[in-house]
Formats: sequence, structure tokens, C-alpha cells
Amino acid sequence: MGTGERKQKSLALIRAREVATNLAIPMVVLDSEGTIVFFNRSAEMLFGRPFEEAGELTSDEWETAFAPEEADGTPISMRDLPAGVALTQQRPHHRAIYYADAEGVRREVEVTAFPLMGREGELYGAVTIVWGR
Amino acid sequence: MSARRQKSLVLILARELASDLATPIYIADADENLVYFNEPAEKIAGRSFAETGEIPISEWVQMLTPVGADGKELSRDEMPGGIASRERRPAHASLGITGLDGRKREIATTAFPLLGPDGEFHGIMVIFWESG
Repeated sequence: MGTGERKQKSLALIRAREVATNLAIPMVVLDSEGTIVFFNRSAEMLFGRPFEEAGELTSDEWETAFAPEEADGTPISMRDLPAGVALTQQRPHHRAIYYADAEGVRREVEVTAFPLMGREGELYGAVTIVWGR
Repeated sequence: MSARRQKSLVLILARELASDLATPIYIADADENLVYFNEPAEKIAGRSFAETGEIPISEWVQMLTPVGADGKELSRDEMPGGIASRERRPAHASLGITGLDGRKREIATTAFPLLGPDGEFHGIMVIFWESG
């Protein structure tokens, strides 16, 4: 990866983080590897703690912690989650999922993710928006 | 004055994010004026933002003739953008539109309110993509 490409990659993630920081709806920013590089204060309910405490989470870490499920309890793999689709298929995706919150309460949420993809097709990461039903 | 500055900041940040992305995105302000759509959105809308300019969002939506799954025309209030503006919550739907180039398209759309940390409403950001 060249210097210019790295700079652009950082810029897309920085801009997504800036938007998330200034919004009161749950928003999660992932890099192109699926690592959560930021979530805002409104998204703390998903993780049970602020980003400052949680820090960056690899896809394995957050998939284990978040344990997303179908309505019937079938686990949803990373690649079938909106963020997974956004990163692997490089297109936005939306679906409802279930998960257990920090207190163990099962919740249903709607999730939309879209890729942070430049016009030349370069993938920088993805943004996920979450809201309760 | 600080509220206006904050309002501008949220819209500016949203626009900056949208401007370099390949995902179609449009942004409306708190007064429901279309203030920006990016280049990928132009391909679906069938017209550039430079040509459209800042117009009331209801006018722009009407031009795209949105229809629901049953083929009936949707009002602004029934669409995710209308819900995000009116109810201050995200919303998602699949619908049909006719671009200004005359092409019919099936799209999925998610809209979310640009609510600042203090709860102030700055507008909406709408992501849409061809689903058909």
C-alpha cells in the first residue's frame, strides 16, 4: 500500500469516526479487516462499556462478545451480518438481528451497514448503524 | 450562534464523509431541504446535484415517483427519509423509483436522523442502493 493510499484510508475512517462522534444514534466504524476501530457513545449499549474502555475489537472478539442470532436462536456468522456483507461483498446491507446485551437481556435490533469504499473501488472499512425495533 | 455553527458542523462532516464514497447518499437539513447528494447517487437519481441544486426534499422525492411493493405511490411521510425527519429515528424500506433519466429502479434505503449529542436535530442522511 502506497503512502497516498494509506493517507486516503485513514481519512475515510477518520471522517466516519467524526460523524459518529457527533451523532446520538448508535454507530460503529470498522476497518477493512473487520476490526471495530470506533463506536460512539450511543453504541455503548451494544458493548456494555464505552469505546475508551473496550478499545479496538477484532472481528473474532466482537463476534464472540456480541453473539448475534436469528429469531430462532441460530447464530449468525460474521459474513452474514450487515457489516460482513458490506466488507466482503462491498455493498450496503440491512437486516434484523437478535443479541444478548451486557445484562444478558435478549434484544432485537435493526442493522444497516455500508462500505467505506472509494470511487476507484478501494475498500477502507464499513459503517454500521443500529437501532431498536 | 453556537447552535448554527454546530448544525453546520454536523452537516459538513456528513457531507465530507459522503463525498468520497461509492455508496449513494443524500443529505437533507433540518428544514427538509436537499443540501447534498454524492456522485453515486446521481447515477440512481438520473441527474447531478449541480443540476438539481438545493431544493425542498419533498420536491426531489416527488420527481423520483417512489412506489411501494404494491405499486402504489408513496408519500414522503411513508418513506424512510420522512420517518427519520418526522420521528427522529432510523428507518429502512425497499421501494421502486423512476430516475430522472426515465429508468425504473428497485432500491433499498436506510435513513437516519442527524441528531447531535445534545439531541438537536440537524437533518437526515439517507443511504440507498439498487436492490433489484
